[in-house]
Amino acid sequence: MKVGLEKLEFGYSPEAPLFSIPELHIETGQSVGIVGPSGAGKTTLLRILSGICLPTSGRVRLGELEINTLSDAERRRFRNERVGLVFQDFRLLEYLTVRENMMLPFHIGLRQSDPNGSKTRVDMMAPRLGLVERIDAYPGELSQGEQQRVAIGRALVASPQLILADEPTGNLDESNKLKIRDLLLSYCRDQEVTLIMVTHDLQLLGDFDRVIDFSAFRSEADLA
Amino acid sequence: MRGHFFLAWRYVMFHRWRTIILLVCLTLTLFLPSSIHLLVTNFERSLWGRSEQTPMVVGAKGSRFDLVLHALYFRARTPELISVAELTEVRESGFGQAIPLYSMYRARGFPIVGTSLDYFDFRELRIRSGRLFIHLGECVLGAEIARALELKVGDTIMSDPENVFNIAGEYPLKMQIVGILEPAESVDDQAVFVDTKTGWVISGIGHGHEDLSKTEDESAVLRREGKTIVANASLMRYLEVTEKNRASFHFHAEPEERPLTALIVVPNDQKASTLLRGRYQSAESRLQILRPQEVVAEMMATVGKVKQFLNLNFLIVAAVSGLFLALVVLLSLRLREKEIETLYLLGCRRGTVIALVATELAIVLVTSLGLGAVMMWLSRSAFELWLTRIFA
Repeated sequence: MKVGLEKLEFGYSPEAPLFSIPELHIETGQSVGIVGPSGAGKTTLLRILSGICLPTSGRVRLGELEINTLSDAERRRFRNERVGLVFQDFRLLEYLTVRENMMLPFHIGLRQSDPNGSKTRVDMMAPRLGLVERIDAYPGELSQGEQQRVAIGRALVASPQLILADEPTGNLDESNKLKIRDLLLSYCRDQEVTLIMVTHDLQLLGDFDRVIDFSAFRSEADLA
Repeated sequence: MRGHFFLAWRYVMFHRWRTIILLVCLTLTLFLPSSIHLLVTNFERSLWGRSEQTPMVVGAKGSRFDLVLHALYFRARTPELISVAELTEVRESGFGQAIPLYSMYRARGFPIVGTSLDYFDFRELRIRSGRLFIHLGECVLGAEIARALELKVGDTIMSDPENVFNIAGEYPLKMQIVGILEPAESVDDQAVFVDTKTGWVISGIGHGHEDLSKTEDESAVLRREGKTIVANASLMRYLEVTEKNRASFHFHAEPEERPLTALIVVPNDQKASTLLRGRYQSAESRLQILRPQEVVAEMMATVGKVKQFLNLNFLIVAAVSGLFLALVVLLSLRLREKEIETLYLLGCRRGTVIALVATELAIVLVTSLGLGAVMMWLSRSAFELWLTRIFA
């Protein structure tokens, strides 16, 4: 999915925007790392791209859709069907097993998918995520690395066209960080899925197609 | 399974102990007031039903409640005794039918009711097996006793000894079971019916023993004065009426002096009813005649006040339970803020989140209602059994 941002501004008051992006284009299948200081608005950008919140001004094009013109319900549907979200704190539901957590987008989705189809898809993804043995375990029984792999499985299971990962390695040790990064990159390259990952860990970004320093987009007022 | 129902079910099952505690609290909150309501309603129905079937009751002056409850349920404190003469008087008046009741003793904890065969027609009691009593020493069991004690026609049942330490007391009587009644869903299911004469034998007014005028063993004879023979305590009384010894049973009181505890009177018409009441209204009369419905109405007025209090109690408990449930839901939502936010971030509609929480609540509430209903169903028969023994 192509991503295009034009004259995008976001702020908690119109007079003092938090960040301002004159123009940014990301091609389908590109992997983009976003770095920058805390509070610069990296997470907010991901929230705008996923339709959770709206920019103060400007245009956000995702594929053929201009997401900032969609209604709340349309943005939710878009997010559920076409975007995969990965969070720093995993956000797994404690009362669901690994399999059920991975199938969560189908359980809450607006489209009523074929349950057998989604189950098959989970079974196909589990070996790639290294979760075959843990498929019936609950999140409380998993290590942090395993939990993040489940969260990635949940993001990928609905075959999204855009993956937005917000500090997905923030809570992991060195070995797991690399595993998670490789998992995301290899999947996105295989499936030609666009990946935008926010991280503070510059060492992880070596294999990314592009790295954007978000401090370039911070408004002058904010810098002052 | 629809998505929100699946998630709600998984949540409820994962937090099963929390759910069980909530279920127990809600079930008891629903069950206790409902069961009390059911109990009071059954109590009312039972009292009204039995009193409506019984037009009038005659007995010795004293507690009106005791007399009515004794005549209707055989359970209250035994009223002062009246005599067969009173029965004869009502019968000879021609104002209506009089049915004697003599209920002072028990058999294995159940009341022994001495009466006449008219009682069975009056209460519309039908024989399930065997026949009604004809001879002295025979009895007919209510359906509940037969079931509880696993007794059948041909078996025997002993009257309970009044006082095991009183060697001068009356001996228990072994009664022959000749019939079992069909269930009547009333206190009659738990009574041992005998002829009044058998009741008098149990009370010691009548008895049977070997004929001392023909015995060769003089050790039981204290003295002989013409036709009168005075025996000592070694004289063996018969504890069971059999074909062989039936003829030896005799009574030591004139027929008109033999005791009864109450009479059920069925007047021929309204006029007869009024005239009968007039007979017993004088201050000198040793007897009282009561309409059970009037006495029960007095009792129900008191019960009604208790019921009002219970209804108020129910409303308060329901309101407190509602607040308690609302608090549990609010606290639960606070604890689950992150989970709900995650669902929203993943594209879940707000309506789905509301449906999820509502479904969880519905699962708990419906299960509580179901459990409450099952408990009510199970306790119904226990209540009915208890109600029939409430005046014991």
